[in-house]
Amino acid sequence: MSGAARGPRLALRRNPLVQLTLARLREFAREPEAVFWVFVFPVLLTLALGIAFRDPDPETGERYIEFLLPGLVGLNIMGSGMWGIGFPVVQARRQHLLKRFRTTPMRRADFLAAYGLSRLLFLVAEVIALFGFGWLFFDVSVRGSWLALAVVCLAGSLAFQGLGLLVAARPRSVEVVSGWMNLVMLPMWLLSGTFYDWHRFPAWLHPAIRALPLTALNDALRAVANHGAGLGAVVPETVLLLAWGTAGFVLAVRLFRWT
Amino acid sequence: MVQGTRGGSDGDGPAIEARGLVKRYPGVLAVDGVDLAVRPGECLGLLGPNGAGKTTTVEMLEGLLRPDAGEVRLFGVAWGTGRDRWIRERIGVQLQESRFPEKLKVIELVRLFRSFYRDGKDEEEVLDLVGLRGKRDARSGNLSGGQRQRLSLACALVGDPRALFLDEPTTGLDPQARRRTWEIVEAFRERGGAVLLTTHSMEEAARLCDRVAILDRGRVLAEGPPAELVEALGADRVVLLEVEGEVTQDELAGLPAVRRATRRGETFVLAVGEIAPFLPALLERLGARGARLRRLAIHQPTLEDVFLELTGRSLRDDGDGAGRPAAREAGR
Repeated sequence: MSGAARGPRLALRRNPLVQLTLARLREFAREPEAVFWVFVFPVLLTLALGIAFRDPDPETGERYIEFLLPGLVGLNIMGSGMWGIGFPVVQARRQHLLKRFRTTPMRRADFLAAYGLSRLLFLVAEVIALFGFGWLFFDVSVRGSWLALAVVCLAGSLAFQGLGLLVAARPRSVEVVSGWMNLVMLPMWLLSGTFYDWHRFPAWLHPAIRALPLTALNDALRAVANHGAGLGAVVPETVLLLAWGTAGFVLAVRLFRWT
Repeated sequence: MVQGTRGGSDGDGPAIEARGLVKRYPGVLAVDGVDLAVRPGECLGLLGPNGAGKTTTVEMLEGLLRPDAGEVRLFGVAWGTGRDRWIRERIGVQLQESRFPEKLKVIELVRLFRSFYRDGKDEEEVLDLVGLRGKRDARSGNLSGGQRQRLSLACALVGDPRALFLDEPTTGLDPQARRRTWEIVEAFRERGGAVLLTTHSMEEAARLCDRVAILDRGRVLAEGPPAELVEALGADRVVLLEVEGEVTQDELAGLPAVRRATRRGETFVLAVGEIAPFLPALLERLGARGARLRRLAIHQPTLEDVFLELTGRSLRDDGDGAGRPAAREAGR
């Protein structure tokens, strides 16, 4: 019927990047648990915390949910970026699928880009789901530029994908990679100001906290969502995030174990 | 070289060629100077017990492992000379241990592998070929072991390779699926494809392989057509013997028609020419010694006997209960 449509469709079907990305998307979408942790859990968390802290602070007039929501988005980008790469890579290594891929002409760049691309699609969905939910239920709005928000989210996602790939570069078991993931993420859970302002920590810790990628991401998200910042205001954080991501990717590719 | 200085031809030279391959692991010389060649249209079988160095050898041939010494060429092109992708476009590899993502469907996986190759076969045709048409839309996690093996073969074939590496392709298959796999391999070979087959099955080696190489402790002990290797044993029959009482190996070797006598634990293994003069002489000797026959088994010699003769070990020997994965890990 559609002879004309066949050419482009076949081209897509024979494109390794498209096929690798589709495989990632399918694997994720067919894994109910992953869908729960990435989409449902953050929304439930937002709901619970939002209900608890929806009233304005009597002194400052600020609402905790407005402070919290960008932090939860940051936390989600960290978790999904790291787990979304680390877990499947190690799983594929353990099942000797990586080794099998190595025997084909598949390009490493396509393999890595497919992870990035699939995460990017999920990222859009995650961010829209969380901010959309906050806007619908708690009237939390993004005050700054959407472009800035998109750039910050993208940079954040790349940073944590790079770190996720680095952590997953060598382990052969899911248990080992899980341990490392948690070790890397735990300090950021505590220090990066997701649930409270990180300035409460003693001043001598501030430079280290400021260097953490989740701190940069949370700060930039808050600047845009709460304080109406434009792209120019979040350049330092964006650069820091991209630096983390690049360092992670470069090191990971060097250390990467296919077998 | 057909294509001048760049090397690499799909013509007359060997499809797969290894010279002086050596691979060391800490404390183990896994592969110790292996030479192999497989020509287009030929199937070479690699036989050996676990830990013999088969997997290490094959992984060096496939470009997954770098040898410590020696050279591998596929279609005249060596690995690591900037043309690895050129080689990979031309080979299909089936790894015994690889598993596919459980949530992906059969057709999705075949399409994924097809997308890696510039030229290749139609995905649906390959499914027909391996007999998985009916499972086209099944998730790989829901396939039986045999079906997974065939899916793996489909992914190895979908790039339309000229050389195929198969690692125990019929382990776990029912007889019908096994014959089907053999037919696919035979058809591939008849169209001029080169096959390197690793197997534990003597039946499979005898049926598919033009030549076999027997590998033990990292060395090729013997190589040739299966029938010739068996013939070289010089035995019409192999006799396995267990005796209660005093009989020596030399004594048995001196009996009529006995070409060779070896001892393997409790069992004497005799290579015997004609059985008719041998049997009465054996019984007479045992009677004279007051020894009693506990077990007597006679069979036609097979590759298994060739292997036993060469190594003193059985091909299927996993080393006293040491499981396959353990033996393999130890080889690394």
